[in-house]
Amino acid sequence: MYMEGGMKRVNHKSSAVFIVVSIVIVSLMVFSFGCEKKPKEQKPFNIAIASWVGFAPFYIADEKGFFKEGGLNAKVLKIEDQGARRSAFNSGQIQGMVDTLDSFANGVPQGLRGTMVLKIDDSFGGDGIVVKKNINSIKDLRGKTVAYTQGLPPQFFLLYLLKKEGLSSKDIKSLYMDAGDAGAAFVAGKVDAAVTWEPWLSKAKETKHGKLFLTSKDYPGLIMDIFIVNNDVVESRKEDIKKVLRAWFKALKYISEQPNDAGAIMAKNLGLNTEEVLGMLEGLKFASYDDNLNYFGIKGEKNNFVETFNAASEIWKEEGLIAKTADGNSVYNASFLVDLYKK
Amino acid sequence: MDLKFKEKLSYKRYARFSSITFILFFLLWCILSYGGLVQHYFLPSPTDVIRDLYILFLHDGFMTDVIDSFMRVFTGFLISAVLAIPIGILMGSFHYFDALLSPFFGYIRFMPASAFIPLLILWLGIGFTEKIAILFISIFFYLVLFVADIARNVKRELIETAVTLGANKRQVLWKVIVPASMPGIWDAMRIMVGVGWTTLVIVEIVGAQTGIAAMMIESQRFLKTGRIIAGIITIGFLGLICDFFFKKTYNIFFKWAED
Repeated sequence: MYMEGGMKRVNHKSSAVFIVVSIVIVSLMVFSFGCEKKPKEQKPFNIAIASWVGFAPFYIADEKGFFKEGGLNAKVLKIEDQGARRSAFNSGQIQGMVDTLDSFANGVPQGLRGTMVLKIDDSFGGDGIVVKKNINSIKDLRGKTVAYTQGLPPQFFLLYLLKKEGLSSKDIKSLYMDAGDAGAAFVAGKVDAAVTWEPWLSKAKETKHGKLFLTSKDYPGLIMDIFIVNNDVVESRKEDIKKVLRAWFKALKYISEQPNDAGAIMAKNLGLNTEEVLGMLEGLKFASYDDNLNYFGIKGEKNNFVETFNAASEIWKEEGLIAKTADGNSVYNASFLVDLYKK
Repeated sequence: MDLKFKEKLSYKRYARFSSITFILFFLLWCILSYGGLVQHYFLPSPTDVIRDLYILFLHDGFMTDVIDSFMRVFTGFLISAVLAIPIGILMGSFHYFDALLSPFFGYIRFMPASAFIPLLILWLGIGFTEKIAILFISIFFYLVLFVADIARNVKRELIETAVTLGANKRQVLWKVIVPASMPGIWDAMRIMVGVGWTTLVIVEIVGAQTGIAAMMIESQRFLKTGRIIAGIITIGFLGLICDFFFKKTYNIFFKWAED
């Protein structure tokens, strides 16, 4: 490759132009980053959720202005990956997030700095186990390959059922994967059983080789979504936490009063259509304000939260996922609920 | 067919040959989906995907997602390129810089960008900056080594001739090495912008309200495979546009580099 004199000048110029243009663009961007942070408004209360209809009332609270009405600058953010959600939570980027009770029980001993303040919903058929047709009992799972997600409700559900029958995870062949992938692996006939969620439960039921064995509907109170807040804000932002909870219950009320509009808002935010959302709502049961008071044993006779939390901790410890358990009594704060509507 | 090494095809023939592969691929897709060989929720049919594309763009405001994703990839790529090009040229020109940086960058390069997500969240939060940082990690280290290699391969005769003719260090760098490397660097950028697009799924897993991959992750949760394929097609199309841009501009800027 030999360059001719005349051409040399041209290409030199063009590379210089490129470099100058790039530097200008980048410095403009850096400058605009700086500007982004300037407007100082009320401290935001960031809430991290995942794509699931059970968390969608947060979208309603946001779009209907229930947070704003209460005087709270709340932001609802989608973080699909649990690990990333926990990192963002622990680093103080977000103040509140959704979790499931069982994974909260393995998160706390591993350093998750959260306090449970609200029960969101009970899984009511949304999670379940699909098996090949020749499997008729939990005991039949012995020696079979089972696909499920580690550290999340599918593993907890499975361990709970195995334990009840005097078995453990050592008696089955475990394959760890995402709940969706577990469903796909089962439908494709690659595993004997899978612990997964909707819409894969329905798909598995339609296959020739599979059937729906058990769902969370058969075990109420076992799998549930909860809302936790960062320990840093439990003391310092008491009023803000109450504002979140009030907006949440307002959103639940809105769903029962205006199901179509509520369904449309949730559908829009989840990339679904309204009928699909209404169908999915049947797979769960939202916990009302009174349900919550009962749950924490304020109105009812016993504290279900502490009981389930400790039972879940025990299961995780036996499985070796955590080295020590946390005490359920030290990881919840029901005072926000109790005082929620007091003046 | 008489194959000759490096023989140039006419534009028409090139187009004809490249469309063969696309058509075969499309036919295979049709056979698998319409033929019912694969369930529709594993592989939706072209009709389903076209319908989903239509719904996405006309009803769900997908254009916003496309623009947001494009801005992320563009910014991440541009910052990577602006830093990688000068550093790479220095590494390729001076052995000191090479020793200082090459082994280290070569080492970092093998780490998956997704492994940095927790750290990036801690340091940079969950906004735009964190997303750009993931793109930067996935692009910069490869690009810088690419550029270093290109600068290193500038013909020694060119440099020696320039020195013999009395050029000083600055002149050799700016008038010989930089111009001689630019065509190769442009090509490297064309390849690496593609890497930016493939990283999009891990970029948009954290706190992205909009974005092509954010839509795909959400659709995966609800088993809307048609929308996932629609997303893949959109990303592929945007990738092709980037590719086309670099190829066209290559011809404008570096006509002299053609044999």
